Amino acid sequence: MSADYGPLLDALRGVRWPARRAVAAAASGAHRSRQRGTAGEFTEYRLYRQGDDPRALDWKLLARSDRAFVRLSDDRALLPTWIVLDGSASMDFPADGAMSKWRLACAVAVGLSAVAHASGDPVGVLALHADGVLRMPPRTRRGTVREIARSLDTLRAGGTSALASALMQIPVTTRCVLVTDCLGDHAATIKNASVLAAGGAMLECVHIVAREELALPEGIFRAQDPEDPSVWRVTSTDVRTGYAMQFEAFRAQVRDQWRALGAGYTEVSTDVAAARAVRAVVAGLAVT
Amino acid sequence: MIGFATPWILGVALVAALTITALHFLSVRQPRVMLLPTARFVPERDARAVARQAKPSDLLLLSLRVIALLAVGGALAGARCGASGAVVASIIVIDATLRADSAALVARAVTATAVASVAATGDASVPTVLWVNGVTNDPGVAIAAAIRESARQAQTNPSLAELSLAVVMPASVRSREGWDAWRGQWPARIQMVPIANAAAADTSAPSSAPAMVRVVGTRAAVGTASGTDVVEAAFALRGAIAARGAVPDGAEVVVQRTGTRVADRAPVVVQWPPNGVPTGWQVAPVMDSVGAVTAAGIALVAPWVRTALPPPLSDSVRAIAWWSDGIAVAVERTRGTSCVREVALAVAAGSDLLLSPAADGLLRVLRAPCEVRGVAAPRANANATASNYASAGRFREAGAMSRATRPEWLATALLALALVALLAEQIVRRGSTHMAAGSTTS
Repeated sequence: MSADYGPLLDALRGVRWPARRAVAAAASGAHRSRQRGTAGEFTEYRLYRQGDDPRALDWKLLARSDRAFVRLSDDRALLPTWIVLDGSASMDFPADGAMSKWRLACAVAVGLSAVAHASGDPVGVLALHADGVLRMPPRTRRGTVREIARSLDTLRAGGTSALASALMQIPVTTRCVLVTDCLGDHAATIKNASVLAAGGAMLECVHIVAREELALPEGIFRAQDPEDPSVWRVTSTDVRTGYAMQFEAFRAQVRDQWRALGAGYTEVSTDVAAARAVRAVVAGLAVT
Repeated sequence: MIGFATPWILGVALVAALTITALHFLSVRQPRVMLLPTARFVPERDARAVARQAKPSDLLLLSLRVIALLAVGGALAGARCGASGAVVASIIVIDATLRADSAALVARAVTATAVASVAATGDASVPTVLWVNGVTNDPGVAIAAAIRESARQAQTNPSLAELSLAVVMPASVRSREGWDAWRGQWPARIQMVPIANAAAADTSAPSSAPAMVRVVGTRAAVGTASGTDVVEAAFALRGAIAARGAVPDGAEVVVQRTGTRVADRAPVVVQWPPNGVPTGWQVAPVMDSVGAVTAAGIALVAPWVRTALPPPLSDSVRAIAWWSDGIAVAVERTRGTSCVREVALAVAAGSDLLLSPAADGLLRVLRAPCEVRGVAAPRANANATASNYASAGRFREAGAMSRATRPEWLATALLALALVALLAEQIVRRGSTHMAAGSTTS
């Protein structure tokens, strides 16, 4: 495992990441399942209904009360977690800064992987990067987080975003965490995410925002989109306010779109520590 | 020291270089490219409103361009390095007839010009001495000769900046018309070096009034029929012959063509033997050729042969006509109130040289009254504080069109430097273009 993630994993030790709602039936795990079965932890009785498994009848109660009840218990289920990383060129910003959006996204992904893995959930990564796509299916075995961290360390951001198409590879019975700056094919991503959400997937969006993006730098520059050279603007002092307003409006729109899907949304700035960002994502809180 | 044949071309190059420099200050360059993923949120505005710079952009390119421009300008301006001669030059004009006293006169003139030069520039330059015929006749020829010499020096010496003129001036001259006409052409004060011995000056007669001339001994000397002697014909052509043969005594001028002196009561007796050797003259041991005879400021150019050398000049024996090298060809001996003039000029029989207008000066001198003094010579300017130095540029401009510019090694070197600078500018410009493209795509 990369030594860079050591302090992060130490800071996240003991953190759990419960599902925000009951998960679909799956192997036994730590999350509350929508299926009620015959697990050892008794919850309640229910009158027997035709079709119930006779093995669930409480025969002793039937003998005492001459009424047929079925013993019910809450099932615990696993929640496979996919972490989808946006490694487009826009994530490689600032290129000369201490912490780029891509490096923060990798740290958040490793942190979330560690938290999910600590909960016993299988964790997988789907990373879109400059040289292609890294696909690591969800696993629960030991060393999974280390493998994820090592793999992410070898990647670099670049190219154009294809997040929307990557989402179609995610099963609907999983928890899908998108770590992105929402600057690529965002409209298509929202559309495909709505399909996932309708299928029952639990969606989380970690919106990475660079601190340098929040306000235009002083001076006059030719600001150019790294993913689309045809998009460029001239910056100056008199457009700083307009830029800040438009970017704020965009982020608000993104937040509303994700929340309208029932997904979790957390905006993380690059000047925020990765551990703090992970805790905010897990708790569903805004990072302040 | 570097000089320029045509400095205005260098001025043009300098102006162009300043323009280029100003463009580097005022050039509107594209703003620096900055990759910004959120560029789409920047409000659109006019892309031409770009940065202005307080410092000149691309200092290396600017330097190369300025160097190339100045080098080309310097080469086209005819840059020359290490030209001989001083920045200040002095010209001394002395009448050619004063060669006998040249040592003293030149020394005095050089001293005078050196004092003035040191006083004006702090540096004494070696003067150029011009021997000019006819200064005593009219010192205007001195100015004309000095202007020609100034133009020549200005052309051959690019570093020459100023010129001074000193004229060794006799006490009296025949005429000041030429002086008055030429004086305005010398754009500075002219230093006058007076001649102490006025008798040494040329006093050839300037009189233009026709005198009564009687030519005697023609038949005996030439052996031809009367009327065929070239001297007689020359005087007759100018209407100066009163009679031939039987002219009564008392004629103003008697020209004796025989080799021996004949007593005559005429106030002016001219001895002009046909063989060119008057009595009292020394036969030249080796006859040499001389190109011209000068008298009264007029040169008679012909392939003359010098057959005799003049007697020593003194107060009573003075030159009235000269060979082109300054040796007397005719002298005047004072004899009381009259005088005898001896001419050592052999004119071939049948020659028409004396009939040409160029012979007017000689013939006019010969029939002039004895010892005629001229008008007072010009004096130095009253304004003694005026500068004695004239700009060499004026003479350089005057002679620039007539002189071909000879290429100099410095001009070639400057052209090579300009070529190297232009090549380097191309390389640097392409390099910066590639760097800009690289920063754009990164």
